[in-house]
Amino acid sequence: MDVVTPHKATNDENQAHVESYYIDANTLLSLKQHTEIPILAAACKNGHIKVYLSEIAVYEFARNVFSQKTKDPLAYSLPPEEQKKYLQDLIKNFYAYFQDNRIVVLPYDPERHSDQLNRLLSSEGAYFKPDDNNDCRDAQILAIALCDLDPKNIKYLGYDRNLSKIFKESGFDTLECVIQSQEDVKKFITQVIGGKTGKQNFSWTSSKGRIKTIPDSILSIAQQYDPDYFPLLKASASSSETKQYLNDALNNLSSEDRNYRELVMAYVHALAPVDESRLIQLVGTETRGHIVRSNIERLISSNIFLRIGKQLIPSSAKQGGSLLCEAAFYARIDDVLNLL
Amino acid sequence: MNIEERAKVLAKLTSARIEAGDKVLEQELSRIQSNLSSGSEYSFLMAQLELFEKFAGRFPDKTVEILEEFMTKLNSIDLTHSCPNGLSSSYMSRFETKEKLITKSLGILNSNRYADFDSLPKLLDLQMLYARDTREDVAKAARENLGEIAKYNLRVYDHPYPGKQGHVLGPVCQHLILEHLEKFSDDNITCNCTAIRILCEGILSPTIEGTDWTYRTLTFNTRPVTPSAVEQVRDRALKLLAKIYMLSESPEEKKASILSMQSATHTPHQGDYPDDLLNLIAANTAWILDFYIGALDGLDPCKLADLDLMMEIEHNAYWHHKRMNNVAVRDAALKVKSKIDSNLEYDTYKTLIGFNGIFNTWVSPVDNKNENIDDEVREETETRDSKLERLLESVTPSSYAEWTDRIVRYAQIKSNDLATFPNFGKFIEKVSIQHPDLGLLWLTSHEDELGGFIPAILCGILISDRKADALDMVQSWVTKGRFLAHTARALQFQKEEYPDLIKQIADISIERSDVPALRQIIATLTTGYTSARKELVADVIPMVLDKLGDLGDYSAPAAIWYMPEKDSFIADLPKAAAQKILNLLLPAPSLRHELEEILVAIAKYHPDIVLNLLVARIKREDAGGDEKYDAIPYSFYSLKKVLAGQESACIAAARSLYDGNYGMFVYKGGRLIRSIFPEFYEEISQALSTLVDSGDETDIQFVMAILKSYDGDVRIQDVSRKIIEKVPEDSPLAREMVWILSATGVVSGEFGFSEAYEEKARQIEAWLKDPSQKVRTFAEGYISYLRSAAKERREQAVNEIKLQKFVYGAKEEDDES
Repeated sequence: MDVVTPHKATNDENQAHVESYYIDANTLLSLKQHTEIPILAAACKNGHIKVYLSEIAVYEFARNVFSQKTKDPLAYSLPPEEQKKYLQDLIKNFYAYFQDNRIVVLPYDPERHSDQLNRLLSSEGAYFKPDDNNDCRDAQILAIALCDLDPKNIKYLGYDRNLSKIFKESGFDTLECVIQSQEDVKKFITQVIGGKTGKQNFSWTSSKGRIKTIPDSILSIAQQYDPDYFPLLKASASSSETKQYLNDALNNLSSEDRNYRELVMAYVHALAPVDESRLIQLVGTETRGHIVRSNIERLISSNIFLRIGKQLIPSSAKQGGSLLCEAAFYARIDDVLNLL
Repeated sequence: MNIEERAKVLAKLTSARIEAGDKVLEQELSRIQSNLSSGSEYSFLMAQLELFEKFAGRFPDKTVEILEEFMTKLNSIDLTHSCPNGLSSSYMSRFETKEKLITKSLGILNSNRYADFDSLPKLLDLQMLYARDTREDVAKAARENLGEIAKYNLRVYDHPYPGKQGHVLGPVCQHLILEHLEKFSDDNITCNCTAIRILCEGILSPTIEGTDWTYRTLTFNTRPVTPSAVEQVRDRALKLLAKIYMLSESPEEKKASILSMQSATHTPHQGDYPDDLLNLIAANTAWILDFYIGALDGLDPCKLADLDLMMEIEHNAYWHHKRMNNVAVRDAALKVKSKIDSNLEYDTYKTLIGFNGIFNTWVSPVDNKNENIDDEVREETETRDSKLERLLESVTPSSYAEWTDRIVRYAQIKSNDLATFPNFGKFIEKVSIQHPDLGLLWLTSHEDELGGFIPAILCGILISDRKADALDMVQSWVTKGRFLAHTARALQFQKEEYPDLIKQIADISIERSDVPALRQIIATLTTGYTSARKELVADVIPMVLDKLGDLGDYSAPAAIWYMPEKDSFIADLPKAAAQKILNLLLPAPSLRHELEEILVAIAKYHPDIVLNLLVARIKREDAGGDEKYDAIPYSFYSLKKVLAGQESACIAAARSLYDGNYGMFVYKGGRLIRSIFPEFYEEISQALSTLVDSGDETDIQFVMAILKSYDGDVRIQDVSRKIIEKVPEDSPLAREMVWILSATGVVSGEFGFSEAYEEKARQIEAWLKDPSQKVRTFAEGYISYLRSAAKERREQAVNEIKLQKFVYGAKEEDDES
């Protein structure tokens, strides 16, 4: 490698003239957590684009996730104190996630921003109405942009046409294409990844292959929420972490059920798609086969496994199956290795 | 744990990167190394390689070492084979070869080409070693791998450069390849010239490529290379190719180097590309044109191979001048033209021999706004014809020696693309007409060297005033059995008939078993055939065919399949002679299109003997003994046209083959009717219905076998209904009718079978109101079966899609759909 002069990336390689974007709260909320946010994050991390967010947008994003999670009937109900802690941790984790991916989060500082904010909310005929929460939030976002960003070098990315207009009047470039809907925003994100608008025949990956999704651990509510618990998806996940995660999921079970359930999940992760009867053969003895079978049924009814014909696979990351099976795989790695 | 399960676990451990897993992978690596080193059974070794490829990327340097050792070891061992079902070891060795194991090993190396750049030189050396292997499959695989290595891969190209923020790897792999190749000694370059050319062609590619896939799509992504990034590697690759050219001793290798350099002149095939890239390509093209000027200095116009190289250079320079809108390129191309134009011998060569020579005016894209291909073709033809006339004028008694030397030299050129140098032949014929003395001189003094051009010379002299001398010479040849085919070919194009000479050639060809001459006699007698030749044909052809039959030359009749006079020739042929042609076709391994044309021509007049031949071929196939023998094709192209109206005769012929073994007949004689009549139509239906009405159970079985070959075509319903009415309910025959009617043939789409079954159920609903109770009962059961099969197939398809999504991945929109 040393013999090669590093090649300075060009515009086509999405490196030179890196465009900077300021993304507002609504736009951020419109992006899918499992696909579009990670793509945007990876694009920033690899230097394809530069993205600025206000602290306000990150709070909104975390609140939105919190609201979705706590409404989910499958979620465990946390006591109020724990809920508050969970929200704080979500904010903290998202803040760290964005920063890890080189997305700049601009904090709100009353000392520096309040004058600008007051001007925006009080000027006659203003777009922002002081008694409307959403307007106040947007005004805060604009105030931060006006104080901390250079409008000449940054483009505002949003799909609210009126808000875009205000940003434009304030000196910011809006996009080359007029963003009129959430779909346009998403299309734009794809095109950003494609290098420049109109170039769609582009594909890339992060340095280790596939783009990493937002670690589900950031989003999930475990029974005993542990803010220090981070990505199970990371290759370096230690067995104690995975065991903890599994404990959370399996701690109401008898030791025998727990053992078999953990084992089938580990084996399904290692062998999927795997024939169900073969799985039972690998896990159980002849006399305990019925217990293994009933545990498999429970995992299917809990949407951890999907049964396709005679084959079993873990359910998707969104449904939680693949994550839990991967955790079991790490926890029971010795059993998996014994198969060999 | 079976091997597939083991492979899955190893793949998971490879991506997991955990300490315990890594230890297991290391143990697995040692185990596989030991197995590859000690094993000799093909399936065992292949299984080890398949396991190895799951995690080889984790140990790139060790992988190269293990596979190099393994491939070397293969040369010194005898493979053993596990032989299932009593198959012999020698039979298995036809499929289980060392070549396959080496190709697999090279494939594993190739898939790990980006795993560790430090291992790349060693990996390249190994692929290059096997790229010059004498075993074609191995060399081909290694060369394809080298092409892959040199390509610009999108993922590698855009990968962030470690420790250099804002930089990407770009053409790093190409730099490393050149770094390695540039250290080669001259001998090493010469030895690996093919491999190096392949690598250079990849490096000179104007596009970066990548693929992306889901369970149902494969996307090819391409983008132009970045000119500033690849400028250096392209220059270095071109210089390396120039070096190969200079070191090459064989004209073929020199020509191959010139061909490889052409890669630098290509623009991206798709999409827009920046002006910078076009400028870079133009600069490379100008460099190549300058190189041509130096190369032309080293060429000797007395050597045919050098003349051929000059033609390649002229051709390339012309097209660069015509296509590249760049002053430097055009100027350089015109310099090449000027250099080539000064060589008169080349001008003669390209006029007489060349198919790639340039005869058009050199016009640049600036001057030629309205390109018209018809005008260009006309100009080329006129210029070449006028040059040919001038060359003809230059043939005088004083230049006989010079021309003889040239003609003899040019006649030695061996075409490798079946070209027959038509202009050269035309020229020789015209010279022989105008200068029959010279023609006779060639035939008397250089007849062996002029080989395939003897017919052209003879054709010329036979219409000159030295015809009698030519015939004397021919007579002396024929008597001695010399040039029989050549002479017969010359007679093929004569307006005058030479019946006695042809008969004499036939007699001597038969006596000497001269197959080319015997074939040529058939062609000569067919060309320009009129009934005036009927007697001669009846006299000569049967004995020629008998002899060809004795010699086992079944493809001789194919010599006339394309001739317009073929039909009248066969029409006048006595039935016995036509039968002799068909006899020749009996042992033919397959009835190819051209042989079918002969069958069609004969079937117009004698359908019965054609059907007899088909029956005899099927019997011959049934008798076994030749596994490559294919009695009848899946479908004839045009036999149905001449056998229309003969449906009953065809069915009778097929019936004669039925021996009561329904199971086997379905796949053998049962195919005959479908092969002749791919579409089931009314006349076939009527003929089969008649047989059902009048026949016994064996006849019904025969009809069912015919119906089965039509893959459940809706038009077989009428005959099927008759059979159902006739056979007992719940009998094996009635149950077989379910399979015959429910066959679908080829279906398309994930739900193809399910939709086909649902459609079949709809098609048969009318039977529910049939006056026959038997038919109604059958229809109820059959429809119920079809609906349940459709449901089952749909569920299977849905499950299959789910599994494919899991295994191969799906985009979010696929999940939503």
